[in-house]
Amino acid sequence: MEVRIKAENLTKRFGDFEAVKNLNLRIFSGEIYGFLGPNGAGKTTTVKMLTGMLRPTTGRVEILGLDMAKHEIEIKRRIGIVHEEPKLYANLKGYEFLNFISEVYNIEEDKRIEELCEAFSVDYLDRYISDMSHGMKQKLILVSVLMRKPDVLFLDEPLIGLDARSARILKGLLKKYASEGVTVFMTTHILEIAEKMCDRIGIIHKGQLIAEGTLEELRMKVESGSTLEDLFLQLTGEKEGIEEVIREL
Amino acid sequence: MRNLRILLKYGLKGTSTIQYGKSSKRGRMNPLLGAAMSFGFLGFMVFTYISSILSKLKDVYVGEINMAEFFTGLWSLYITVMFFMTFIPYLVYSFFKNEEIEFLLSLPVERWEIIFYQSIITFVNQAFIIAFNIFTLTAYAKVMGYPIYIAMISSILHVFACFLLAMLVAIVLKGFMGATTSKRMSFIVNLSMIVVFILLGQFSEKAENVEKFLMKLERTSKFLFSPFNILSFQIFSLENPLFLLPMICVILIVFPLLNSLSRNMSFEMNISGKSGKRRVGRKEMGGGLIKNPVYLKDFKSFIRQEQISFMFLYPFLFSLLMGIFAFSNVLGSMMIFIVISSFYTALISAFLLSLEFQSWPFPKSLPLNDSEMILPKVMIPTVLNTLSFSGILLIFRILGRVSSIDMILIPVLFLLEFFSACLGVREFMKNPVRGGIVNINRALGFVKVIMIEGITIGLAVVTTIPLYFMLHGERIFKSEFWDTMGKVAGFVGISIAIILSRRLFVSTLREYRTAE
Repeated sequence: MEVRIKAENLTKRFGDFEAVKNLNLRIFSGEIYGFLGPNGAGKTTTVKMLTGMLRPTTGRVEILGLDMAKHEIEIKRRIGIVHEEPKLYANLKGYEFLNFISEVYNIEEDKRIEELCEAFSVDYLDRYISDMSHGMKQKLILVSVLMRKPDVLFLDEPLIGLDARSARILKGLLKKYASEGVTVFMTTHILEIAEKMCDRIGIIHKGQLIAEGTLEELRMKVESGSTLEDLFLQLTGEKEGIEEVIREL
Repeated sequence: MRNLRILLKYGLKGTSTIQYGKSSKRGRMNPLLGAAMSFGFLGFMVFTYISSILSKLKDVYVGEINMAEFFTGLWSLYITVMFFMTFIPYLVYSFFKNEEIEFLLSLPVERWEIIFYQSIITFVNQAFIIAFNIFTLTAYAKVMGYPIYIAMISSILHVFACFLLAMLVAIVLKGFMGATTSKRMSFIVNLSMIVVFILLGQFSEKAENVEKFLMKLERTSKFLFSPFNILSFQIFSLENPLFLLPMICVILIVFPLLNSLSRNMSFEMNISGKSGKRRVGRKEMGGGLIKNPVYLKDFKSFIRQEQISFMFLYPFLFSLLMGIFAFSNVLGSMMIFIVISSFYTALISAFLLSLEFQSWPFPKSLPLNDSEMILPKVMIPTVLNTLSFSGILLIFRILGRVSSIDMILIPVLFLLEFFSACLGVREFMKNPVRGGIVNINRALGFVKVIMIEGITIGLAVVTTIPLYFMLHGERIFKSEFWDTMGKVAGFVGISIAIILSRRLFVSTLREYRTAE
């Protein structure tokens, strides 16, 4: 299988704070990779480095066989990114935003956009983005990313703010795209989704990848626990004291 | 009051100075010192210029009218009306619920504190008007031998009273109008006021014969120095400090009134667009000549933000009408355009760039290089203002008010505007405000606005006045030495603009590239 996302000794420091430490990743075509970690573990920083939005302090990123340091623009053209917070140009209307994206990426196909808009009930394109709710903006950005059929998809908490129907459609589409060879890199706090959707899971804690593998492989690494939540809490060392905290509160 | 102090402490400061990976602060000037220097520089220029005019007019009487007093009265009136014209629409607009107000409303802060906070932040953009007023009156006091400290107190009281009155008008206007309608209405009213103001200005100058001129002068003087014209009380107070009392009374009456009105003020949500329409898929964006998507996006943002569209239209209409109706010499009109537009260009370019950071980190994910993102922010206000200036010159040329050689000013203006735009984006990039605080007054902090004001206005005056005089074979100063120095300063100014523009643009690109 072709390696689509490759990170070698990736490190990011903000002053004295080391957000990501010597991260190594190899993610293949057609794979859905779940990237989990507690708040502040370094998930978003990693996504930003893998997508060329943040330059690593040290280390190297390769996407689709291209070196990020040398081919940043080419890589950005071929990947799709959905950020955790859908912050878009507030002064544009929905359809103007889609036009802007179409022109930046040289997309001429209208049919696919219409289909995606129908699927996610994006029927508010005449509205200004500033007047849209979080979920509406999230769906708009999903359409703008999916309409390009990128080879690699980076999704940072993609289901937050989506209604049940749209969430179901998105999950279905991701599975379908993966079966067609698209690589999906997804961060999420909803462990059930990672459990159901991801082929492999990586767990990052305090900037370090502490575990990686299929759900079965991860289960073998810990003493007990059958759910991903149990595994996650054990691996990150956050399980201890939970019952006590609840009792005391 | 404590909350207002806290809000202002952070609001006027602009953004945090903490930047990871940047340990060195060598060579950085204290920003407040920088602001004070810029304000001082601007004040010094106004003071010197007005003093030189008033010294010549000091002993000139037309009938019983002292021309120095007449000039000061008329100039103060212009400044005050200009202040109301620019300040009130901004303020009405800033009172509508934006993301910042929404955030402030979630804090345990009283409504009147939010209103005063917004008003003071908006007031910052009018700092050059404050400088004009304070230093005009002090120049008058110095020339006429009145105590300068009275002039300072009086002009500050005058500005404060005007500030409160403008706030009152803005709050009342806000109550009358709907959200979107008021944005557009205030914009139109504001532009109409320029026309009315300029037409009113006609009665001060231009007359075909001496008799008519004297009649106009007498009528204007009566109006200016009428005991009912509170706007002239700052001048009267120099002779009789009792005239300070009405200004203090205005402040004492308006302040509690504002307090009570602002406690009950509601902030409406600014909804626009038609939510009822069902549309899926794309439709044409209607860019016309603009084919580049980033230019088109930025241009749309430019025309949709009433505040910045106004910043573009204001110098155009103001200087055009001044040139047609008020000034016999079009240099004054052209200078108004150059000075105001170069300052506003910096604010517009900074604001356009701030829009990218409001949707951060999305722009960073686009397959566009840094100059493709930054250049439109610089070029849009630069090109539009250059076209606008060319339009004014063309109109004046048709009217026979300027000669063809004056067209040389167009490339000079382009350089100045380009420099201002580069300065705007550079200053913004030093501490870019991220997130959804959609307020033009917050794109740059107080200190930076004042600094930019000083630099752009200073450079505009230093470069264009000598050039204009040279083009017309006239002297700037009587003294040979100062005349030569003035002309040299003009060339130095242009050279500085060219060299610094490049440096500012390159360093902006560097900052944008590493922005996280």
